[in-house]
Amino acid sequence: MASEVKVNTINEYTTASGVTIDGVELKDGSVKGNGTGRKNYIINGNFDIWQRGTSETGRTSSGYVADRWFINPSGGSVDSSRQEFTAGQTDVPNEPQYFYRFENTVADDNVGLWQKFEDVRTFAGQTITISFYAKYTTNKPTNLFIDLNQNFGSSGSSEVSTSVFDDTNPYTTSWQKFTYTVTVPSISGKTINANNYIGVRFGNRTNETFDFDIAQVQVEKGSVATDFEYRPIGEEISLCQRYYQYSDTGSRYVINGALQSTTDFRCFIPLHTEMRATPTVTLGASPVVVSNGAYDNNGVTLTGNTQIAGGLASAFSVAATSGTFGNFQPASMRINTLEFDAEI
Amino acid sequence: MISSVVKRYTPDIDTGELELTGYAVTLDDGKELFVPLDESNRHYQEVLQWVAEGNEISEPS
Repeated sequence: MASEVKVNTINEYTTASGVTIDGVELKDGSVKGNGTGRKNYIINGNFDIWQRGTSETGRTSSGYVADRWFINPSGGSVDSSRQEFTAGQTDVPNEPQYFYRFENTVADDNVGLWQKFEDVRTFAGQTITISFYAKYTTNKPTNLFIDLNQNFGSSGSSEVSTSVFDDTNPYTTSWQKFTYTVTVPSISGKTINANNYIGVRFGNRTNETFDFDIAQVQVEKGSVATDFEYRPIGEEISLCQRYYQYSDTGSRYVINGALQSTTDFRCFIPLHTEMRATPTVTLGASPVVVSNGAYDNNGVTLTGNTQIAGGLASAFSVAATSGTFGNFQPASMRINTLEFDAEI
Repeated sequence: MISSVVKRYTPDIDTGELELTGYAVTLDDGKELFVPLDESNRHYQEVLQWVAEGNEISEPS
């Protein structure tokens, strides 16, 4: 029989105990460990953002396809693709549009998918809960594991790995929700240097070909797996662009600048948002610098970048292949693609 | 995997003196990256590791 209790206040039994209601811990005005909003530390946990393209086959070196998701092929070969849920399905709640299909097509062990969180101080000494939906399609991964790797940066303290989960045959061909809670080790006494991070790794220990599908990945503070946090798509892509940005303009992108000398072109390249570090830049094929009827279409070379407010102050080495460049003349660069990478 | 690394210089805007300002990194698949001298950049760290393994950074031709 349903019943109702009406009270003015419920107080915790001791100053440390909090109040638990049907598994949800309330403490100091918030759901314990979660606060309100921005509870999911995973970026692109809903697999909506794929700036590098929505599929790739045969990856044998480490890198990224879906934004923020780092692939370690180990000695295998990984195919990645964005897959779409059927509208109206109810296996994974709240109508997500996409999931990630990860296929290792060359047998190897320790093949995995990571997300690295900037700053190893994240979660240190705290309890966190990892939740996600997963299944396999064709080749079952037979010994899955999840671990946390606290990396203290270049010449920092040795990496600390903490096992979250290690089990045989957890996935089936149907979507299931998985949740795991773990206490992250303290970083007391550690030496922390540049490029430090904490990474969550989803891997398979068995030397085999395998595949899995994964959706709605969430890492949150506390010991309770709450509902997946949906963020506006504009906010999610902005979070991704702190680490990677890509522009493809079909040769219509013109960047204005000036020739400092007949061999030195300077310009400002705008960025969507400030990036984690000065990014690595990859230029599309055959950029052209034009000034006062002269141009260089054969050997425009990027020589320097400094990240400033709103973008990059950049320098290019040029040499006129037609006409003659002048000192201190306005100039423009036409380029088709620009790729900026400040991943961890 | 890194195949080769070449230094990139930029003239100082006042004096014209060349300063080392980055590396052109060519990967095994032929892709070329411009890597800044930023210790927080993961490719810069990979260049340092590549050098520690006994490889040499070239001067531009």
